[in-house]
Amino acid sequence: MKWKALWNEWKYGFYVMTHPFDGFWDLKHEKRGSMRAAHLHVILMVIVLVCKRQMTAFLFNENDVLSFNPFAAIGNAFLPFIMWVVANWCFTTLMDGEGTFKDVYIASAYALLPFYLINAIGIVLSYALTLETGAFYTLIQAVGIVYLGAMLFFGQLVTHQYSFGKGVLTAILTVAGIAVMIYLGLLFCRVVTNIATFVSSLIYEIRIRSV
Amino acid sequence: MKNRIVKTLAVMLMLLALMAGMVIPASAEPPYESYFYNVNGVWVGSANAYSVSEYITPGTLGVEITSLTDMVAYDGKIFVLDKGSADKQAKIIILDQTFKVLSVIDQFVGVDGQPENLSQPEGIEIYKYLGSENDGKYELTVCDTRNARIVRMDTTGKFVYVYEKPDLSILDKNGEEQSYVPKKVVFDNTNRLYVIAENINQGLLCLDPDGSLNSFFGAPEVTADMLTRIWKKVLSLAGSESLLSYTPTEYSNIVSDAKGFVYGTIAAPDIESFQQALTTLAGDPLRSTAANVVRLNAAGEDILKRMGYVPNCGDLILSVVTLGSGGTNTMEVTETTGFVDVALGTNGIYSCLDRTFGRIFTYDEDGNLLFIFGNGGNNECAQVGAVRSPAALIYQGDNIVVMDSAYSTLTVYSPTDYGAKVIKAAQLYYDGEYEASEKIWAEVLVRNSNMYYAYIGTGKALYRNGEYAEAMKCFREVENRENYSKALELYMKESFGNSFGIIVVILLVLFVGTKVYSGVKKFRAFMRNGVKKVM
Repeated sequence: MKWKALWNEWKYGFYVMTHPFDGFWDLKHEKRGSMRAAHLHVILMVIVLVCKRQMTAFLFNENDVLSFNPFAAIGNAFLPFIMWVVANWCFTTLMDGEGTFKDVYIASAYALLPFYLINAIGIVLSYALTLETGAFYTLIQAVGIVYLGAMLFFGQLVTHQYSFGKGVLTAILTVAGIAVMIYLGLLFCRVVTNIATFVSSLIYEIRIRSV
Repeated sequence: MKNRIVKTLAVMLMLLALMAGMVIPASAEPPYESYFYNVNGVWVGSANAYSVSEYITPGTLGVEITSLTDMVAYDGKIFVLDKGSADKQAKIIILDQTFKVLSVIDQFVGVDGQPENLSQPEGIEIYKYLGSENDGKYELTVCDTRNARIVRMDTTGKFVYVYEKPDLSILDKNGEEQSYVPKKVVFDNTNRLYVIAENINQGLLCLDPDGSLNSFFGAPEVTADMLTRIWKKVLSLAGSESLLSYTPTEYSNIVSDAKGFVYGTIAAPDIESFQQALTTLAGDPLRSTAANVVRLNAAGEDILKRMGYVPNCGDLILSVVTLGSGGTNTMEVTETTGFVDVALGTNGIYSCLDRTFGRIFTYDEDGNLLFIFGNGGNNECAQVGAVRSPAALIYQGDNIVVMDSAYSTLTVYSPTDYGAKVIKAAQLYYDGEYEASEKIWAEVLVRNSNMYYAYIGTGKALYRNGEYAEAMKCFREVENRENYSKALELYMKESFGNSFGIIVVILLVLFVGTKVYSGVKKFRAFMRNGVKKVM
């Protein structure tokens, strides 16, 4: 049964969530997870984050709900994740990491489960909270972020069989790598825009002179 | 036969013209479209708050006017100052409430009885005697700008006192004497003078009642952040000069209120700090960097309240002028609102006059935008209600009089039904009559659904009536989170009672229950199968 298998693979995330070391180890070595379940985790994370932007109760929602750009919202949710995966893979390949790109992707995707679960709970809860009880909402958000960070960290630690110190180092390098990627991306956009402007003004000039 | 046809045609034409005249009445439609800013600082339409009720020209006054510069209202009269020119005598025109000329002062007599002249005066103010000397008597004080002095005279033009140039030697640079060009003057409660003088950027001059220099007052604060300071150290001298504009802006006009605080306007605020401040929320200290109107206390600090949803700094959208054509060589000139004058209405309401567009922005005491009206003279033809080069602004009851120095006209705006309601509601709120003011806000909302401030008033009224869901809608409309939260709390209490806590407890019990259940299951499996299979 294909669906039953997918369900079991996805459900394994709960075990990983509560037993990160065991869970990530079996994820890689016992093939308890799968690529398609990892995709499902990522998709669910994106859906929850987009819903969070649009559907969080007004009191805790600073976003302009009326001006909604689906591409920007999806990009905002998906790009940081994929950048983490790529940067982590890049650095761990250089630093004797044992995980392949696929391993990194699967581990990182399974690490997202507690994050999007907590955010989903946060969306529902936000409707029942006032500003005075709003500290709970902030707390839940903070727990989500910290849990995500810890899971990503343990995930790469187990996947690449790193010592704790080396794990910290690669985590820091990965974050730096993300920063470099963002910088290069912006630079690229800027250069392309400049070239486009140059070409268009050149064409404009030629058209004016040739008349 | 032919003649008859022509005659009939002519009669018909005349009738038509008559009918046209009847169909299109002399409309009171102002030559501007009123607008407003919503909570997000977005430009939205609005009902007209004021309309032009009178238009006073030199012709209607029957007085020859060269160039109007300032005016002041007191004792049911309006004193209008005509600065004259190099070869024309300056004069003061005294008008009554209905803008009839009472008298014109064009002959001035010095304290010693000799005839005197005013040289292009630019500011006029009322002097009132203090304490026991005050028997309803008042005098006019005029900034005799080109004669470098301020003169006080009675209402016939006889000088009472002359404030000569104060000792400004501390401002002398390189042996060059500091010039003294007084442009505007006001008095505070102790009859000290506050003077705007050209080329002095230390703020206002504060003079003692005898005219000697007391202090420099309320210089617009110039702050440089850490980065700028570092750059200043790093860059060469020439480079840093272009980087920094340390010169504070000069005040364009001043007014003192009943408590002795001085309101000042700034005509050319710094564009960059302005842009930063445009999107600030209430309470953000950045907001005062976009201060083109300030209220100064005795220590010269700005104490104007800036608690409105949008900053009280005139237009929020910098007007963009695009020059050149063709799409490639465009130059953008962004312009901030510069104010030339401020006038104080009743109960903390004040109105500011925009330099470029002749618009009038009215705010309440807390800095909430009440309405915007008026129109600039960027159109070539002079229309009634269009002000070409706005110079001064006064309140006359609830009416607002704007002086145009280019056309030498006075335009009188009076509140429409809508405007009167907004003013009434704001005044009631100021007086602490919250419930009465909330009722009027609801009426305001019927006339202008873009008036965000009215939503709060209406919301509060609904809240008091116990209609929490409706109140929440109102607060949500203007993103007022504090009040929304209060309404939500009571709404939930009303709909769930205290069961919310019980729901949470049930959820917790369910969660713990499932945990215990799975634990028991594991334990039983352990009992059955031993340690190996469970692990």
